[in-house]
Formats: sequence, structure tokens, C-alpha cells
Amino acid sequence: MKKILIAVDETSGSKAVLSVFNNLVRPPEEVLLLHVIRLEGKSLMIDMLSEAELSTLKESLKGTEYKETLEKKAETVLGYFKKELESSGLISVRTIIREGIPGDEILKVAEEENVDLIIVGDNGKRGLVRLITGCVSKDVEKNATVPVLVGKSDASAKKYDVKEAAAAV
Amino acid sequence: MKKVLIAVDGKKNSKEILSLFQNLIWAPENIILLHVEQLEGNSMMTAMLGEAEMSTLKESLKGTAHKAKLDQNANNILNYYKSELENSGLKNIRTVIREGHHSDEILKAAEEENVDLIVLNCSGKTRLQRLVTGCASREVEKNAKMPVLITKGDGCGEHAQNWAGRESYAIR
Repeated sequence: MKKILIAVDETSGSKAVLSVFNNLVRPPEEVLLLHVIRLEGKSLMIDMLSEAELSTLKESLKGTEYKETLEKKAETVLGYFKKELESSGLISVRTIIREGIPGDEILKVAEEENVDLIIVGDNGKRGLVRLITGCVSKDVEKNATVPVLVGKSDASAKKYDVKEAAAAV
Repeated sequence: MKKVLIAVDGKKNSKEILSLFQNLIWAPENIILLHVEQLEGNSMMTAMLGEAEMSTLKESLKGTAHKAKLDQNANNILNYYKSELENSGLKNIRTVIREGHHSDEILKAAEEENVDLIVLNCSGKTRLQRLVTGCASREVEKNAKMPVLITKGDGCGEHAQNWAGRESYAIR
């Protein structure tokens, strides 16, 4: 019984999971496609919120336009990856949307679903951007109890960009 | 898949790697088993050394008992993994020993050999240990141009906190 969790977001780094999946991984019995909605933009702010605060935040966002946009985006992202995976002949793809801190939610789903492998992309964050916005692949790699496969895209090989760092601040 | 680089150290992790190739990942045509000899103990000392200093260090260690022990240790580890992998039917295994800074050498070897995937074990270090001694798996994951697969041997992940007492270097 092989179950694989693939975590994706809208960045180009996530596309790396597709090539990795097609080239390296044996066809599993089930693929879980996970997207985590970040309620708090790209800052590390959300990491500092406790469970209670986070649930208040979730509550207060319910039904707002902002939330709807996020959900729509999540569905677009998952739809794209699902189509890509299914076009390579895979039938059993289940999509999951979660809210909160990406690293935490990925680990939680991995545990709940008892997966055998986690695949994440590399968003190509370097230096300051990485420091400010955190890095999901690092968090997952550090704390997961199952093997973690980190995909690499061309974007991840690019040099560290000062402008991008400034934009993130 | 064509070529895989597997970085191994003294911790026993072959079971995990074997089950990986049997269950999750296509068995590769070529396997490169790499062990990096750490000349400078467990500190991050080596990370601070420049190329020139490093080569002086290598030079000065040549022929010493310490180096001989490191070599023997490296050979033991590589032979262990090689026989384990061969027993399970994997072929074309080449062993490589390098010396120097762990993550640098893994990345260099991966680039030179043009591998499709790097497999290495999670260091299983606690936060403090990571801070003091650095963490090869993180460095490699961050800087590699090819996909990286991090396996979770004994004492990794959430259980890392209890790891220190179990620092079992099985093969010596």
C-alpha cells in the first residue's frame, strides 16, 4: 500500500513536483494533492499565532471576499496539478485544501493519512527572502517522519535576487 | 532513472534506502555510494576553512593514524552498504570516498557525476546540535540543482529530541 502526499502552491517551483513524480517515483496506489491556504500573506506572522488566535483568524475570515479569492485560487492550483497528474495515467488523485501554516499542515496531513512519502517543490527562495518568509521545504524536511523528496525546478537554480528580497519586506 | 547518488555515514540506514527503491522510487541504473570523511570532528570548523587551509589540513593528515582510521571506517561503511544493496539485486554500484566539508562534497560529487537524484539521511539533529554542527541534509536540500530525497533513519523527525542518547554509530 503506497500513498504519496504532494504539496503544491501557485509558485513555479511547485511544477518541479510533476517532473520528479513522473521521472523518479513508482506509480503509487493513491496520491493526495494538498494545497495550504495561507491566511496571512507571505510573512512569518502566521507562525507566531497560537492555535486560538489562528482559529479566531479563520473565523473572522469566513465568508469574506478575501477568503473566497483564496479558495478559488486553491481550487485552480489543485485543478491544474490534478489534471497534469491524471494525464500521466494516474487515476486515484484526491485533493485536499487546508488553512494555516503550510509546513504544519503538510505534516499534519501526512500523519493523519499515514503517507509513505512527501513530495514538495522548491520555491527558489534564497538568503533574505528565505529568512523573512520561511521555507516550507525546510520545515517539512526537518520534522517529517517519512522520507521527503524535494523537487527542483530551473527557477530554484536562479541566483538570489535583491529586488525580490526587498519586495518581500 | 539513470544515476543516483547516495550519501552514507556511520548510521545504519540501509533498510530505509532499500525499501525506498523497492516501493517508492524506480531502481536506478547506476548507483554512486558516497562517504565524506570529516577531517575535523563534528564542529563546523571545516565550514570556515578556505580551500587553501583545507588542502593544508588534508596534506598534514596524510599518513597519520587518524587518517588511516578514517579511511578504514569509510571503507567499512561503503562495503556494508554496497553488499546490502547488491544482495537485494541492485547493480552497477560504485563507491566514492571524499574528504572535507560534508554538504560541499556531496554537492560537488553530485554535480561532477551529473546525477538525477541525491539520497541522504536526515541528520537527526536537535535544534541546538544543528546550530552548533550544521546540518548536511539541509545544506544539500537548499543548494542542490537536482531533486533531493531525505530519508528518515532511526531517531529522525519528531523523535529527534530524544536522539542524542541514541547516537549509535553501528559500523565501526
